[in-house]
Order: sequence, then C-alpha cells, then structure tokens
Amino acid sequence: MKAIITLLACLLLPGCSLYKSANNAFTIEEIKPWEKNILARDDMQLDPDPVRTFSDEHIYFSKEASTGGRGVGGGGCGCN
Amino acid sequence: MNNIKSKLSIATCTLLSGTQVQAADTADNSWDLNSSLLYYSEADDRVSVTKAIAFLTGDLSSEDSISVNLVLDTMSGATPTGAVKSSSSSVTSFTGASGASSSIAGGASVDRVNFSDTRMGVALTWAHELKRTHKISYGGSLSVEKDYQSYGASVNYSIESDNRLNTYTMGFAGTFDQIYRKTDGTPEPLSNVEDNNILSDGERYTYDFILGMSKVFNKKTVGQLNYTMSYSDGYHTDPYKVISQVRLVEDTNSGVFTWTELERYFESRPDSRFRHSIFTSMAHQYGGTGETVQTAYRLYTDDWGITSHTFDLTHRTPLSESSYLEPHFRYSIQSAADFFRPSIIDDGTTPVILPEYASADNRLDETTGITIGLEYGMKLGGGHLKARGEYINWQHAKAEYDETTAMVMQVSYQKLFD
Repeated sequence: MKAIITLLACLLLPGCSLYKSANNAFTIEEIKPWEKNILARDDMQLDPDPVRTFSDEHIYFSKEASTGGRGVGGGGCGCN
Repeated sequence: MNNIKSKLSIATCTLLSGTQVQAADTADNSWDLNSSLLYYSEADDRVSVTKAIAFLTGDLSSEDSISVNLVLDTMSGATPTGAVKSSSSSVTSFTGASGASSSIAGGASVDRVNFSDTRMGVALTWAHELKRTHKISYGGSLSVEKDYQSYGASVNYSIESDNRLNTYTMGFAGTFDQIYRKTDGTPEPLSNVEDNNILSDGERYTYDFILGMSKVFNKKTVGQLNYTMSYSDGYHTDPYKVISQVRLVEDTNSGVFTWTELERYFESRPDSRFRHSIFTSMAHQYGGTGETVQTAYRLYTDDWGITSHTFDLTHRTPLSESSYLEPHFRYSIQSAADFFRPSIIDDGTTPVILPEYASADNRLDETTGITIGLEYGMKLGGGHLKARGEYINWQHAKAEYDETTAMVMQVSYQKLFD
C-alpha cells in the first residue's frame, strides 16, 4: 500500500529523482506536540495563503468550466 | 499566540472557500489583517480586472473567532459573445455583456463586445469551539454586481482525533443567485437575437456538500483529501452569450466559399447541474534549507459531460531568514460540455432544427490551461509582504476564440495585531 502511495506521490512531486523524498513524505509517524514546529510554518499549511487561493479560484472559476474541491460556501459571482 | 496554536492543530480551517478561520484556544484578542491588490489583464484588449481584497480574522473569546472577507472587483474590456467571426452577416444589432449595445455597421459581425462592471462581495464566518477537538463554523456571504446577485450560507463541522493528527470535516452550503441583464431581464433561450424576446430575471439555487479529511503523516508532511458534491437548479444560461447559424456561401465574384452568419440566437443551457470533485493536496518540507513543496490534484466531473483534471505545484525556496522565492505551475485539461458547439450549421438544403441546448461559450469547450508564476515574499514592518506575477494561457479546441492569454500581478501584505 505504501509503495502505491509513494508511486502516486512521485507523480505529484517534482520528478521521480525525489523518490526517496516521496518515500519519506509518506512515512507515517506518531508526532508529539513538541515535534510540530515545522508543521506550524506558514508554508506547511494546507492553504498557506488564503488570499491567493481566493484570488486564483475566482480567476479559474471565471475562465474554466470546473470549480470547487477545497470547500463550500463563500458566495458566487456572475463571471461564469 | 492563538494563530500559532491554530496552525499546530493543522488543517481544520482549509475547508472554507477562501477563508482560513483560526481556532480559538485562548482569548488574547489578536487580529490578523490580510490585504491584497490584484491586476488581471487579458491579451488582445480583452478582459481586465482590478481586485482589492481584505481578510480580517480575530478572536472574540477563548472559543470564538470571526473572519470578515471583503472584495471589490472592477472589470472592463471586451469579451467574446460566442458569435462567429464572420465577414458578412444579416444580423444587425446585438446587446452585449453587461448591457453594452452594439450596432453591426455594414453587416459586419460583432463577435465580441465591450463591457464594464463592478462587483462587491462580503463574507462573514463565525467559528466556535464546542469542545477541545470539535469545532463548528457558520458562514454567510453576499455578492452584488450590476447584473448579478448572490446570497449564500454555510455550516462546517470538524472533529480532530485525540492526538490532533487527523481532522475530519463535513460541510453544507446553500446559495441563491439572481441573474439578469443590466438593461432588462433574461433573453428567451435559443430565441433569435433580432426578436428581442425578454423574459423575467433568472434564479438559481445551489446546494453544496463536502466531506474531508486531513492527516499529519510525519514531522514534515501533511495532506488532505476532500470529496465535494454540488447540485444546482434553475437558470444556468449566460444571458449575454449567443450562437451563430452559419452557411457556406459562394462569393459570386471570386468563387470562394466562406462561412456566413445568417441568424444569431441566444444560447441555451440545461436548468440543472450535478457536479462531483475529488481534491487532494499535500505539503512536504525537505532538504537542509527548509524547502517546501505543495502539490494538489482535482478530479472534476458533472452531468453536462465535462470532466477535468487539474494539477498544481508550488515550490518554496528560502533566500534568507526573512525572504523566499516560490515558483508556481498549474496544468488543467477539461473536456467539452455535451451541448457545446462553435455554431449551428445550415447546409442550405434542409431546414435547421435548433437543438434543445446549445452554447458557443469557449469556457465550455475542450480546454487546456497552463499557468506559470513566481512569487517573492519577505518580512516587512512586522508583517509579510508578497508579490507575484503569473502567465496564464488557455487553448480551446473548437471555439471561435481559440486562445485566451492573461497576466496576473498581485501584491499582498499580512500583519498580525496583538
């Protein structure tokens, strides 16, 4: 199972030369609260920049037929 | 600091669209202001948008926080109508996007029209911690344009595991939209433009549902998986878009056959839409210098026949203790809607039978999109300053306007007030 997840991660991470990194990425560890310092960084948030995400979603909603995925709510507009 | 504690809880907040609601573990009354100015400009003097954004998030108590999102868009430029770029036409007038009326001098076709509009949007979210690992948030939103109004409400519930490494989220949202043209209601779908058959305003109800999970894999990796479903019922047609009826006509002088527009109709779309999407993303930090890679993938499908795949990748490289550089790459590919067609063909021998639904809107065409961008960020004045530029290109397979190219410039400043 882990090998499949790692292979999928390989496709998403930049280049399969990062196989080792992908393998490390999906190693599941029990983290203690005091070990979360890296996870607390801005760039480690699943939505690291809500303003940028909001802006991009408006652009792509206006110009493409697909939308959604990240959440629900937030209001619509007549751009599409 | 409340925001830091919130980050440590990881990912309870990403399921609200465009809203990062901070958890409320302590009541130190800190407020986070995130402001931004964006300029979007399409090549060939097409659409340009200036967008001003302000997100304010703060604590009301040890269990409650609110966020207020404000947005102001100023839009102008020219947009394709869906009509063919014909050199000759028997169509003589057309009311374009946002009410801009155009005359077709000398029989020339108007395949795009100028428009201008202003949009104001407000969204309010209240998040409440029911107990240590259970949170609920309520949202309301309003968006107003000269030819569109949208009202929305949402509720999201999230539960963290006892070790706070997994978060499960469920959410519902309802939206009511009113659609009309600036000068009147909505045109009768597939009626001839010259007949000017105008009906009442369009109304649409949309119901959204999300089921999500986020997980901390290890000290350097976090990921999420969402399933979203959306059903909308009501008016889905674009009241400004048209579709041409064309015939191959021989020029009596040159003998050359050219496609000539004989009639022009307002487009028609189904009155409901059922959408599904699966969205997954992850953030991983690696290397000795603290580089971070963020990846995302979305699979989307709906009952209009559209399926899309969207990949997104950012890679942040620290330049120093207080600055970074972040390239961005996005790739998307979508299939065309079942009822998309660039025009309605008149073979000149059999009477044209109009289809039930037809649209020549290039956004419903088979489309490939590529985005390449770069962001620079630095600490400044106790806050964070970010500037980015992006190039976007969409290639449409069959639409009359088969390419859209845009540049995006955005400057943002975020500051925490204790």
